[in-house]
Amino acid sequence: MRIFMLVIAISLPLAASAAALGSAEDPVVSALTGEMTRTLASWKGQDDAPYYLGYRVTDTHRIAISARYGAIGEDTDTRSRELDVSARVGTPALDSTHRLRGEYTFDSDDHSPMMLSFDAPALALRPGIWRATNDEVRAAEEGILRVRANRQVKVAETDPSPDFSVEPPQTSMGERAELTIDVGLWKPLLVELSRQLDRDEHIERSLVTLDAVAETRTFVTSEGTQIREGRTWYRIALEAAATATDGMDLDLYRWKDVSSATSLPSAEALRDWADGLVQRVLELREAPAGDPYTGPVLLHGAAAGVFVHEVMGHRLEGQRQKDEREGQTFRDKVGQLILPDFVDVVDDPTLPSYSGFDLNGHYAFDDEGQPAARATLVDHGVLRGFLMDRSPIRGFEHSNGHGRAQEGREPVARMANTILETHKPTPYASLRKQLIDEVKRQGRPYGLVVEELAGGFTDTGRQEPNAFDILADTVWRVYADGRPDQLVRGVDLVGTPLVALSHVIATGDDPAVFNGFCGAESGMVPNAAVSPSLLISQLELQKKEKSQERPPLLPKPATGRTASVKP
Amino acid sequence: MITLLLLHPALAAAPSSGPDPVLDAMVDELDRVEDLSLEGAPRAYFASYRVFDGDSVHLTASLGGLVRDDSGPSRQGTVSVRVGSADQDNGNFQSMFNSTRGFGALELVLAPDTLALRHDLWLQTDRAYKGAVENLARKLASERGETGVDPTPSFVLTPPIVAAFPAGAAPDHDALAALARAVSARFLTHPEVEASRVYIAAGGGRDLLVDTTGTRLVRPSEELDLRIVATARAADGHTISDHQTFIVRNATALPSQSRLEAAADDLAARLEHWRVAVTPEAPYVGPVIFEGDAAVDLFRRMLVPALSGTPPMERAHGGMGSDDESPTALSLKRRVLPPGFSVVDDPTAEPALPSSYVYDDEGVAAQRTPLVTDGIVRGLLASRIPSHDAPASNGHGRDVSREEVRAMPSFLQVAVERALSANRLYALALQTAKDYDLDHILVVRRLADPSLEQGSSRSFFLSMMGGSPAAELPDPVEVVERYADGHEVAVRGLQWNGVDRRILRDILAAGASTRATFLQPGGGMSFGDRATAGLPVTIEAPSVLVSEVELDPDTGAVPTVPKLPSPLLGG
Repeated sequence: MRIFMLVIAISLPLAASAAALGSAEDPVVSALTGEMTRTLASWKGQDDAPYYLGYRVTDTHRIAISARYGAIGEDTDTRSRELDVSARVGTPALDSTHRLRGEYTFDSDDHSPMMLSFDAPALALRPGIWRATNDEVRAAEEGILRVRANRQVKVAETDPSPDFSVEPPQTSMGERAELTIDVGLWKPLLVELSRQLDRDEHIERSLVTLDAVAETRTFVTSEGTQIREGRTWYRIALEAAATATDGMDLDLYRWKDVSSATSLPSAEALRDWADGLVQRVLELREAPAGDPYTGPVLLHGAAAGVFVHEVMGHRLEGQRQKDEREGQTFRDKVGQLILPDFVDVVDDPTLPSYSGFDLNGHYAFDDEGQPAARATLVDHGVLRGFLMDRSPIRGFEHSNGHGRAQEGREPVARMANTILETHKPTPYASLRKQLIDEVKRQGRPYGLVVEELAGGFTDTGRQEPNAFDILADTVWRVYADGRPDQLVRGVDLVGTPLVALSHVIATGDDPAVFNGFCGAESGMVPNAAVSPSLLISQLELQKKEKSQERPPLLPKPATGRTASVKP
Repeated sequence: MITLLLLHPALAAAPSSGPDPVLDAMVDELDRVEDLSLEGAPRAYFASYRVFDGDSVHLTASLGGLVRDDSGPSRQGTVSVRVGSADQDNGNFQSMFNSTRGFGALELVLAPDTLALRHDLWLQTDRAYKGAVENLARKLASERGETGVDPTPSFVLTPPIVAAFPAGAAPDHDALAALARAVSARFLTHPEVEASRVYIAAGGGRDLLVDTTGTRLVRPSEELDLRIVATARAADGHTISDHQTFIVRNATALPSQSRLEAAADDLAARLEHWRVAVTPEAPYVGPVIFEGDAAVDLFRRMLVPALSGTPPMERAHGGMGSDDESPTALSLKRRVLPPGFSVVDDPTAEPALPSSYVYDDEGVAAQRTPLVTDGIVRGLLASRIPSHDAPASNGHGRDVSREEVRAMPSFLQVAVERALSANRLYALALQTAKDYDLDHILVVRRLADPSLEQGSSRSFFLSMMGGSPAAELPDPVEVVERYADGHEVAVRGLQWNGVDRRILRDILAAGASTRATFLQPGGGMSFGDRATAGLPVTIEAPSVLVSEVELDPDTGAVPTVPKLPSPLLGG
């Protein structure tokens, strides 16, 4: 089972910062180069010597502060340095990473990264690099034997593309990422906001979090690539939760991801967020539970981006086009219309921002050390290409800088900043009118507007239904007879990709950004999904799973020291 | 010796506000437990909160640099709720929801804010109460139709304790980080060591316990675990891991930096010695002497689990959850050791020991407890969860995991009436060896720590969190063949064949005593508030000669030797 999801919060953040030439005496580069040279020399001239060695070192400095109920709840400041080694034995045409057919290898790409010292000199780093290199090369030596045997006993592959593309080496030594945030200034505001979120008796749980991460990735490969790229990422997030009388847990989360501390929202804006969040949770608490539904749906704001990500994005990731366990929804549809002809879809990690919003999926080099590039996926509704790492597929021989992974995983092609753009922007008011027209045309009492989402997930494999599930938080019924809109709770969007995409009938003029983290076989990576509102003539909603727990039996504590509340 | 007793207004259950927001929050919220009710469901007859309030330091260093630094203030607790009655409640019964506690350890807000702390406790208490009601119903359903249900009560109510002791000192992060770097840097000069780590886990602060009977207990919490772990490789490819552990109350009780650096050097030298030891080709059957740390480990692994009077946790029929691997305690009057052996546990005997305490984790005063007299079990360690042979607590209830309190030792002393000198013990063993046509005996001086395989931080962590089997004897890591002329030959790669608790009854003689402090893992995830994720337990035990033990050569797969030498060798 392969389920890929886009969520808001996960512990692997990235973002953008300038890359400038730095010192060539980087101890990490020095240690990596030393061990790589030694390793290649020792295997030189031998059968099944590694033809490729790649090192990725991730330095992370993370500050996490949270407040709840008017007090600081968490306050941490941690650093780490993790090493991933990639060794390939064989040739680029057929190497030790080749997918073994007929073997169930779920999560076989999951290696524990080697933890290296983050404050030791180069010499102290080398024993760890040595051991990790030895393990990877030995595993690759064994791997190529299994690959060759597997190829002999199985039928010919549908896509005989090489395992590894030949790419020019890259050199770019950017500056190390550093955090520039005065947490002392933020703490009082976090406390204030947490008190504000907690003010209503029905809000059971609430949380304000500030995360700041400086990440520096260093790549050294046997092809001559030497890259160092630093990125910083900051998130402020507010969360409030209540329980409906039927036990449904109503947990809303609002957040903003930025690449610079100076871009975080102002205190005034955050106070407004807090008020709005509490109000919406309380409204949802009183709202009726939604019913299963099929009919017109207007995906408003960031909800549309998540739809694009889940329904289409994962199915355009390159390696899925030659993995015969995958559904390969779009593999043979290049040149065909898969969306309305007024729609383009690109994935562009080179963009640091869009419409004034920082994008989570921005980077200069991907996790295979390839330069990030804008990938045109759909042009005027016609499928033009795929997201590519260094694993070629038929008709697409080279990377377009989308090989991505979290620490401990092998990179595969993943989304970065996935953007749906329209040639036919429609103002939101007109889009809403079209929704009502479509509802009337279909003879339904109401249509739905989906505003807020918690994320989503999808399955792309052949062994399970190729379905998606988008986790809706805020859904409105829009009645055809003019009654006021009605908020409902507890429904998710579900469906299958080709049907869903074939029912997109109009697009808004209001591109919105959803910044989150996407999980798939190469782990959690930061993403952005951008789209204007989308009007879909037919989508299905199903009831959301809900808790069976009663709300708390006692009222929440109201003062620092209270007398017991007697019935 | 702890002499200072402080009274806080909340300790006396006075209804005034005080300057201790944590204790105030605990007492305030506990006061509301009696209001928890669900129609038709039993109310809580007992509840308790336990909170660790202090600072913790978790460091890992390698070759002079830090690999991990996870340190800072910490405030964690558990909420325990019992419904029904002490005769029959929801406790000691494992179902999807654990027996008396909400969902394990609770992270409380760090700020000293009573209202916010109460909020955290409120939600956890609500969950714990609802879970307790469900758990009691499951327990009753599970017992329905069973014959021979144990009539022992579920819980023992004890008089409340009101006492407060000074807090333990917060660990000095920077000093410990410098120490970890310095000690780990020693391995830069030992290139034959493939992998090495220095781990430091330290905590200092207060351990607060309040319950609905009126217990208001503030105990010091102070412990420090420093481990030096290293792995080398023999010429045949086998890896050999060993460690040096220092478990103390705080940094002032640690050896000096130079001594710790020397311990790292000694560890490297020991590995170098064992790296070139021979591997016997044939199994060994004959007398074995357990000496020093190995003797202590033998009693720790084979005897300690048999002395806990806390009954194993019941499980629902067909229910999910981990298998309860809690070993069954020995019955009273059973022989567990040869005549002449006695065993006593006394948490109060030496207050300087890191394992010492005055009140246990259930708020019961620690008592000196005779356990074995002349080889016969005469008493069991007891917590407030009674059993037939341990009907009342003797102050040994300790949090072994997030789910349960068990009776555990603190300072266990194994004594023997007549101890032989080392030479006489060797002589007796060699005499016994003749019965097996052997010209030598085996002397085992150290056992492996299963958690240290390959020096892996993950496996180390798993073990620290309770992953290593406590009731099995780890294979020996330091073994010599000793001959009649006194010369010794180092051997390695031996594994026990069929050793269990009965080995204790095969003890022929005993020698000099050794004392060591361990972290005793529990049956599951260790209680989250402990800095060292394990219970400090000190054991003093004599070297012993066991008449017959079987050891086999390791015939497992041999790892591949790295193609390149360590870069520290300058290759």
